[in-house]
Amino acid sequence: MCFAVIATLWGMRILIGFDQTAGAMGVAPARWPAPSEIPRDPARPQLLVFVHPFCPCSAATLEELERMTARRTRTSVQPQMTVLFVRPRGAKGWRSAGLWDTARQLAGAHVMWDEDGQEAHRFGALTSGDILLYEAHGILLFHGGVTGSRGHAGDNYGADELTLALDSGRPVRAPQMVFGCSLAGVGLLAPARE
Amino acid sequence: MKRFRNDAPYSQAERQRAEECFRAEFDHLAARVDRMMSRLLLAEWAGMMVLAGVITPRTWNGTSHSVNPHMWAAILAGPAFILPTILISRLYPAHQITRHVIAVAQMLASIVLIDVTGGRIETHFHIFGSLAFLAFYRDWRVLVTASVVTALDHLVRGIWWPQSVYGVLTVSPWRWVEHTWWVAFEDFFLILASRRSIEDMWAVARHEAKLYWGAYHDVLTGLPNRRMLEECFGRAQNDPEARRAIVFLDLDRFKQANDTLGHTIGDKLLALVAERLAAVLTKEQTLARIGGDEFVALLDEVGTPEKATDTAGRLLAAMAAAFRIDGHELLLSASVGISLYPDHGRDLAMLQERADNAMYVAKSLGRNQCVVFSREMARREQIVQEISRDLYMALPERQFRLHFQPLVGRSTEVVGFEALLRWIHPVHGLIPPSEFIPIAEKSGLIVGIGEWVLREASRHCAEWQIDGGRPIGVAVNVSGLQFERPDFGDRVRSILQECGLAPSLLTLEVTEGVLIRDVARACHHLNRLRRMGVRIALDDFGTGYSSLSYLAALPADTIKLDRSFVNREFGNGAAIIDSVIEMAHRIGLRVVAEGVETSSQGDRLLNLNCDELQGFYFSPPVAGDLVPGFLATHRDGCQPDTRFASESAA
Repeated sequence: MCFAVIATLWGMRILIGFDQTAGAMGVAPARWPAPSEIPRDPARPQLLVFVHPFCPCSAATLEELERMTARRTRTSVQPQMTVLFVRPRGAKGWRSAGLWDTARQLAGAHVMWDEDGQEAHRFGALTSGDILLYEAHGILLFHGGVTGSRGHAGDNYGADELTLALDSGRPVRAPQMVFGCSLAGVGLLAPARE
Repeated sequence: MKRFRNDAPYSQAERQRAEECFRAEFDHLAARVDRMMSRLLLAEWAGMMVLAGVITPRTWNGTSHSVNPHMWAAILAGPAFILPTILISRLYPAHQITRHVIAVAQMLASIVLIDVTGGRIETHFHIFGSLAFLAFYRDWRVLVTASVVTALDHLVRGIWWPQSVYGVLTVSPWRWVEHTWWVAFEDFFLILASRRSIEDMWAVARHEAKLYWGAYHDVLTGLPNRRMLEECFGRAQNDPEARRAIVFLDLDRFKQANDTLGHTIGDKLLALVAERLAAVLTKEQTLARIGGDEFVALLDEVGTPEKATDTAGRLLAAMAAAFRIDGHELLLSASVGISLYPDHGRDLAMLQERADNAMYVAKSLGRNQCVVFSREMARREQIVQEISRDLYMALPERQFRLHFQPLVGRSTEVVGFEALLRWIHPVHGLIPPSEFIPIAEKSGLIVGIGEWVLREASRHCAEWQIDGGRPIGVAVNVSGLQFERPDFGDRVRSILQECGLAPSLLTLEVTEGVLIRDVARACHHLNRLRRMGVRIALDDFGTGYSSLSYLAALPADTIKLDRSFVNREFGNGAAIIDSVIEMAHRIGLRVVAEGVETSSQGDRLLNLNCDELQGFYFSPPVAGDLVPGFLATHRDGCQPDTRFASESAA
């Protein structure tokens, strides 16, 4: 039984290490990049979510966003949300993972493909679940994740900071860690054709 | 193991039994929960792999992927702790350590399951569910073990990876208090419920032990009872080489003490006797109380009858000292019978019966002694059993015969006959009354037999009467059971009418012992019979109490001197006969001497004014059919039977 306990603790150590290891963070542009092809409402803050279609951890990110949207009242500032699924150009069957459908069910969310991760590269998103919030004039307010660890939905500072940034219209002090699969794979995030 | 809350009303044996009952029930429960938990763990392992496969099967790095560590964790949880735990539960079911191993495994499974399913809040309830399942053990220590495992997990992760427990990177330091509170909250109720359940189980076990003890012990003395004795004997019977003894002990005249001093003192006396007897025996020897004042000791490995007798002697010696109860000082003895296994029987009932027979022999030899069963007793017992069995059919199959022995007057004229019963057994031939009458009395058959005798004797007597001749009477012995029946007088009247016999020709012979059981009732019966005209004779006078006050009070016509007095021709014997005859005459009673076998006895009794004589000197008993012929030749003068007289003298 001692072996079982030790093995389990060792396994748990690996699991925790995996769960608690944040993904890579790129540098997000402080102002909305002009070449971006993402549709934008100049009257409302813009919330961008970059997601790997197969990343199981990002389900927690979408869950957190759904919860946040549901919590916001009509009088609160409602951002325009765009969920970008990063995929190699022309790749087939990447919608089947189920995250696409989950994202479609987010209230007021616009879901689109980011072919070859051009927009992700443009906005410095390197990990699935990376979220960026720009105010109506294109100033970066928030950059980071809204989950406490890989695949773990629940209270966390990232979600709290995002809500604060939305409500106050002021940028957060430091970027929040993003927990999810990497978007920086071979053939992805190629330099934008600008 | 939890003990009795209140040990006082329970004996050591009861406590031991209660613990056995509780342990058996608890082990049964624990084994069942072990099986349930091992199945649950197996199901959790399967569920863990399915959930990990559905939720996080792969980790993506762009277009390439690898198996997610959660998937590995789910798969490896089986060989790491689930399968070994299941193996332990199968190898060591119901062991305490098994329960704790299962508790640890169950909580580890919960922790892994929560983690591999992405730490969803719903799966956190698995912790509480696991605690609830573990509560089936009704062992609060298992819940503590489970809680300690969970607490350690939360402590370690809470310090180094708080977000893995609490879902945030930086959390309030009080968050762990909330987490701990919920587990402690559930633990409190589960532990409380477990303890209550355990107490209920104890209550049932105590009750069962009480019933068990009561079923196998005598409440008064605390000794094993007959059933326990049977079980002890059955256990000992497994050894075919063993030589054992059954010692049957019956207290002498206990009933007398019980009746005179009351049942309370009688009960205390029995308890003291049991205490003394038990002190004589070793732990391996069983002493049981099987009846009112009957005790049986089962002695193992006695080897020889002498050893059994030695133990019985010590039992008797233990009774020698006086018993002091509530200011009374009682001296008590016992009679002991011994039977040996396997010589005298192989089953307890047989051995007990034979020891009982031996005990009765001991009583007949004067009490306060020990007798070992013998082959002769066995033979007699066999005969008695056969007689008992055949006696039921003797009357319907007309195996009884009546013989009549003449009673002669002072001029040797025949004045009457005494009816004597004979049983002609189809196999054993003539069986003397002394052999079958006690059995008939014991079985109650004597009532029917007695009535038959009365009817037959009356019928014969009616036939003997001739016109103008001297009336010839008949004397019939009456048993105690027969005499005590309330309708006895009516039955006599009815039979006399049926046979057409004058009541004055019938003499009912009753022993003194029968009359003094209830003198008032006896007087009532006798007076009623005398009013009818029936004559009453006190039989076997001189052998019993021969109380003069009873003699004066009882309405009798005749006393029959016992043959033992008639044989005393010289010295004090002769003086007693003289005095008895004179006294009887003074109070108006006639005297009949029975057992006259010689001319000198006859002459002397006549000289002493004895009214009637009976004995082989005059005639042996004559078959009923031969009486008319006998009367034809002897009615006026019964000549001595010289053939018999010479034999007797020889």
